[in-house]
Amino acid sequence: MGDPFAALGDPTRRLIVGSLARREQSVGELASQLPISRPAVSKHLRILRDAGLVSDRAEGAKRIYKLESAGVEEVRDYLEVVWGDAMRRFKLFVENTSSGS
Amino acid sequence: MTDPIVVEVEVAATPEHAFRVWTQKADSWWPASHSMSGTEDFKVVFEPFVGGRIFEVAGDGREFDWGEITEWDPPRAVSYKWHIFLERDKATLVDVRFSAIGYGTRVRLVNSGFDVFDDDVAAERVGRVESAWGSLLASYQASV
Repeated sequence: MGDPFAALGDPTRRLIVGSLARREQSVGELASQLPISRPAVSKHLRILRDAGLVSDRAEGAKRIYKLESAGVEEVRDYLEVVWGDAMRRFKLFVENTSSGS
Repeated sequence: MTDPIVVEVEVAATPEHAFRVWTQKADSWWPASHSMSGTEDFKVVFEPFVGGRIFEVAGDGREFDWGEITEWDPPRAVSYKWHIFLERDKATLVDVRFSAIGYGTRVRLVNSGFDVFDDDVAAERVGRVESAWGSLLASYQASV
Protein backbone atom coordinates (compact mmCIF):
# COMPACT_ATOMS: atom_id res chain seq x y z
CA MET A 1 0.00 0.00 0.00
CA GLY A 2 1.42 3.37 -1.05
CA ASP A 3 1.38 6.49 1.06
CA PRO A 4 -1.72 8.60 0.24
CA PHE A 5 0.01 11.83 1.14
CA ALA A 6 2.99 11.12 -1.06
CA ALA A 7 0.52 10.17 -3.80
CA LEU A 8 -1.12 13.59 -3.50
CA GLY A 9 2.22 15.39 -3.60
CA ASP A 10 1.97 15.58 -7.39
CA PRO A 11 -0.14 18.34 -9.01
CA THR A 12 -1.41 16.14 -11.87
CA ARG A 13 -2.63 13.55 -9.39
CA ARG A 14 -4.39 16.27 -7.40
CA LEU A 15 -6.16 17.31 -10.61
CA ILE A 16 -7.19 13.72 -11.25
CA VAL A 17 -8.51 13.35 -7.71
CA GLY A 18 -10.37 16.66 -8.00
CA SER A 19 -11.99 15.53 -11.21
CA LEU A 20 -12.97 12.15 -9.74
CA ALA A 21 -14.45 13.95 -6.73
CA ARG A 22 -17.07 15.34 -9.11
CA ARG A 23 -17.88 11.99 -10.74
CA GLU A 24 -16.41 8.58 -11.56
CA GLN A 25 -14.72 8.39 -14.94
CA SER A 26 -12.78 6.25 -17.37
CA VAL A 27 -9.11 6.79 -18.22
CA GLY A 28 -10.11 8.27 -21.57
CA GLU A 29 -12.45 10.81 -20.00
CA LEU A 30 -9.75 11.88 -17.57
CA ALA A 31 -7.11 12.11 -20.31
CA SER A 32 -9.38 14.36 -22.40
CA GLN A 33 -9.29 16.97 -19.60
CA LEU A 34 -5.57 16.84 -18.94
CA PRO A 35 -2.55 17.88 -20.96
CA ILE A 36 -1.00 14.42 -20.69
CA SER A 37 -1.32 11.12 -22.56
CA ARG A 38 -3.58 8.22 -21.62
CA PRO A 39 -0.65 6.03 -20.56
CA ALA A 40 0.54 8.83 -18.29
CA VAL A 41 -2.95 9.11 -16.78
CA SER A 42 -2.98 5.34 -16.24
CA LYS A 43 0.34 5.54 -14.45
CA HIS A 44 -0.95 8.22 -12.10
CA LEU A 45 -4.15 6.25 -11.49
CA ARG A 46 -2.13 3.21 -10.53
CA ILE A 47 -0.25 5.23 -7.92
CA LEU A 48 -3.52 6.64 -6.56
CA ARG A 49 -5.05 3.16 -6.44
CA ASP A 50 -2.03 1.72 -4.63
CA ALA A 51 -2.39 4.51 -2.08
CA GLY A 52 -6.04 3.53 -1.49
CA LEU A 53 -7.38 6.84 -2.78
CA VAL A 54 -9.24 5.50 -5.81
CA SER A 55 -10.73 2.17 -6.85
CA ASP A 56 -11.53 0.81 -10.29
CA ARG A 57 -13.95 -1.61 -11.89
CA ALA A 58 -14.45 -3.01 -15.37
CA GLU A 59 -17.33 -1.72 -17.43
CA GLY A 60 -17.27 -3.41 -20.82
CA ALA A 61 -13.84 -2.77 -22.27
CA LYS A 62 -13.27 0.27 -20.05
CA ARG A 63 -12.05 0.67 -16.52
CA ILE A 64 -14.01 3.17 -14.46
CA TYR A 65 -12.25 4.94 -11.61
CA LYS A 66 -13.87 6.47 -8.53
CA LEU A 67 -12.75 8.02 -5.28
CA GLU A 68 -12.66 5.71 -2.30
CA SER A 69 -15.06 6.38 0.53
CA ALA A 70 -14.58 8.14 3.83
CA GLY A 71 -16.89 9.35 6.57
CA VAL A 72 -18.13 12.45 8.27
CA GLU A 73 -15.31 12.52 10.82
CA GLU A 74 -12.76 12.75 8.04
CA VAL A 75 -14.62 15.63 6.40
CA ARG A 76 -14.78 17.42 9.73
CA ASP A 77 -11.12 16.81 10.52
CA TYR A 78 -10.18 18.12 7.12
CA LEU A 79 -12.23 21.31 7.51
CA GLU A 80 -10.77 21.90 10.96
CA VAL A 81 -7.30 21.99 9.45
CA VAL A 82 -8.43 24.24 6.58
CA TRP A 83 -10.14 26.72 8.94
CA GLY A 84 -7.09 26.79 11.21
CA ASP A 85 -4.92 27.58 8.22
CA ALA A 86 -7.40 30.15 6.87
CA MET A 87 -7.69 31.91 10.25
CA ARG A 88 -3.93 32.25 10.58
CA ARG A 89 -3.76 33.78 7.12
CA PHE A 90 -6.76 36.00 7.93
CA LYS A 91 -5.07 37.34 11.07
CA LEU A 92 -1.87 38.16 9.17
CA PHE A 93 -3.75 39.94 6.40
CA VAL A 94 -5.98 41.90 8.80
CA GLU A 95 -3.05 43.11 10.84
CA ASN A 96 -0.95 44.00 7.81
CA THR A 97 -3.73 46.09 6.30
CA SER A 98 -4.98 47.77 9.46
CA SER A 99 -4.39 51.49 9.85
CA GLY A 100 -4.66 51.01 13.63
CA SER A 101 -7.72 51.35 15.80
CA MET B 1 -23.74 14.06 16.55
CA THR B 2 -20.49 15.48 15.25
CA ASP B 3 -18.95 18.32 17.25
CA PRO B 4 -18.72 21.71 15.57
CA ILE B 5 -15.36 23.18 14.64
CA VAL B 6 -14.49 26.24 16.72
CA VAL B 7 -11.54 28.45 15.80
CA GLU B 8 -10.86 31.72 17.59
CA VAL B 9 -8.22 34.35 16.89
CA GLU B 10 -7.52 37.80 18.29
CA VAL B 11 -6.43 40.41 15.78
CA ALA B 12 -4.92 43.86 16.28
CA ALA B 13 -7.53 45.75 14.27
CA THR B 14 -11.03 47.15 14.67
CA PRO B 15 -14.10 44.93 14.23
CA GLU B 16 -14.99 47.06 11.19
CA HIS B 17 -11.68 46.27 9.50
CA ALA B 18 -11.78 42.59 10.47
CA PHE B 19 -15.34 42.25 9.15
CA ARG B 20 -14.38 44.01 5.92
CA VAL B 21 -11.40 41.74 5.36
CA TRP B 22 -13.48 38.63 6.06
CA THR B 23 -16.25 39.56 3.64
CA GLN B 24 -14.51 41.67 0.98
CA LYS B 25 -10.96 40.30 0.90
CA ALA B 26 -11.51 36.58 1.34
CA ASP B 27 -9.37 35.95 -1.74
CA SER B 28 -6.44 37.39 0.23
CA TRP B 29 -6.61 34.89 3.08
CA TRP B 30 -8.52 31.83 1.88
CA PRO B 31 -5.82 29.26 1.00
CA ALA B 32 -5.39 29.26 -2.79
CA SER B 33 -4.89 25.48 -2.61
CA HIS B 34 -8.59 25.31 -1.73
CA SER B 35 -10.06 27.35 -4.56
CA MET B 36 -12.66 25.38 -6.50
CA SER B 37 -11.27 26.51 -9.82
CA GLY B 38 -7.82 25.33 -8.81
CA THR B 39 -6.43 28.69 -9.94
CA GLU B 40 -4.39 31.18 -7.95
CA ASP B 41 -5.85 34.39 -9.40
CA PHE B 42 -9.39 33.96 -8.12
CA LYS B 43 -11.69 36.50 -6.45
CA VAL B 44 -14.24 35.81 -3.72
CA VAL B 45 -17.53 37.73 -3.57
CA PHE B 46 -19.84 37.95 -0.54
CA GLU B 47 -23.10 39.57 -1.65
CA PRO B 48 -23.77 41.85 1.36
CA PHE B 49 -27.30 40.80 2.39
CA VAL B 50 -29.27 37.83 3.75
CA GLY B 51 -29.79 35.40 0.88
CA GLY B 52 -26.72 36.78 -0.92
CA ARG B 53 -24.40 34.37 -2.68
CA ILE B 54 -20.82 33.65 -1.74
CA PHE B 55 -18.92 32.66 -4.84
CA GLU B 56 -15.50 32.40 -6.40
CA VAL B 57 -14.69 34.03 -9.73
CA ALA B 58 -11.77 32.34 -11.45
CA GLY B 59 -9.29 34.30 -13.57
CA ASP B 60 -11.09 33.15 -16.71
CA GLY B 61 -14.46 34.39 -15.43
CA ARG B 62 -15.96 31.06 -14.38
CA GLU B 63 -18.04 31.25 -11.19
CA PHE B 64 -18.21 28.63 -8.43
CA ASP B 65 -20.78 28.83 -5.64
CA TRP B 66 -19.37 28.48 -2.13
CA GLY B 67 -22.36 29.38 0.03
CA GLU B 68 -25.28 31.61 0.93
CA ILE B 69 -25.53 34.39 3.54
CA THR B 70 -27.97 33.68 6.38
CA GLU B 71 -27.07 36.57 8.71
CA TRP B 72 -25.53 39.91 7.77
CA ASP B 73 -24.84 42.22 10.70
CA PRO B 74 -21.66 44.26 10.07
CA PRO B 75 -19.36 44.58 11.88
CA ARG B 76 -20.61 42.12 14.51
CA ALA B 77 -21.54 38.95 12.70
CA VAL B 78 -21.88 37.10 9.43
CA SER B 79 -23.29 33.59 9.03
CA TYR B 80 -23.64 31.45 5.98
CA LYS B 81 -24.45 28.08 4.55
CA TRP B 82 -21.18 26.66 3.28
CA HIS B 83 -21.04 24.04 0.56
CA ILE B 84 -17.70 24.66 -1.13
CA PHE B 85 -16.77 21.49 -3.09
CA LEU B 86 -20.10 19.88 -2.20
CA GLU B 87 -23.64 19.71 -3.46
CA ARG B 88 -25.77 22.57 -2.18
CA ASP B 89 -27.86 20.25 0.03
CA LYS B 90 -24.67 19.21 1.82
CA ALA B 91 -24.03 22.66 3.25
CA THR B 92 -22.67 23.01 6.76
CA LEU B 93 -23.16 26.25 8.72
CA VAL B 94 -20.46 28.85 9.32
CA ASP B 95 -21.01 31.53 11.94
CA VAL B 96 -18.40 34.27 12.47
CA ARG B 97 -18.57 36.77 15.36
CA PHE B 98 -16.41 39.87 15.70
CA SER B 99 -16.16 41.25 19.27
CA ALA B 100 -14.23 44.35 20.29
CA ILE B 101 -11.64 43.59 22.95
CA GLY B 102 -9.19 45.98 24.61
CA TYR B 103 -6.65 46.20 21.85
CA GLY B 104 -8.45 44.75 18.89
CA THR B 105 -11.03 42.20 17.90
CA ARG B 106 -11.78 38.62 18.83
CA VAL B 107 -12.92 36.61 15.80
CA ARG B 108 -14.74 33.41 16.65
CA LEU B 109 -15.68 30.95 13.90
CA VAL B 110 -18.06 28.06 14.48
CA ASN B 111 -18.59 25.57 11.66
CA SER B 112 -21.47 23.24 12.58
CA GLY B 113 -24.08 21.01 11.01
CA PHE B 114 -21.91 18.05 10.03
CA ASP B 115 -24.74 15.61 10.63
CA VAL B 116 -25.93 16.40 7.12
CA PHE B 117 -23.20 13.96 6.05
CA ASP B 118 -24.24 11.00 8.15
CA ASP B 119 -24.56 7.85 6.08
CA ASP B 120 -24.29 9.85 2.95
CA VAL B 121 -22.78 9.28 -0.42
CA ALA B 122 -21.62 12.86 -0.75
CA ALA B 123 -19.29 12.40 2.18
CA GLU B 124 -17.95 9.28 0.56
CA ARG B 125 -17.18 11.16 -2.61
CA VAL B 126 -15.28 13.97 -1.00
CA GLY B 127 -14.15 12.67 2.35
CA ARG B 128 -11.13 10.66 1.41
CA VAL B 129 -9.44 13.24 -0.71
CA GLU B 130 -10.21 15.96 1.77
CA SER B 131 -8.84 14.06 4.72
CA ALA B 132 -5.72 13.43 2.71
CA TRP B 133 -5.45 17.13 2.03
CA GLY B 134 -5.97 17.82 5.69
CA SER B 135 -3.09 15.63 6.66
CA LEU B 136 -0.93 17.21 4.00
CA LEU B 137 -1.69 20.61 5.45
CA ALA B 138 -1.07 19.39 8.97
CA SER B 139 2.35 18.11 8.01
CA TYR B 140 3.03 21.37 6.19
CA GLN B 141 2.11 23.33 9.29
CA ALA B 142 4.28 21.13 11.45
CA SER B 143 7.19 21.85 9.13
CA VAL B 144 6.99 25.67 9.15
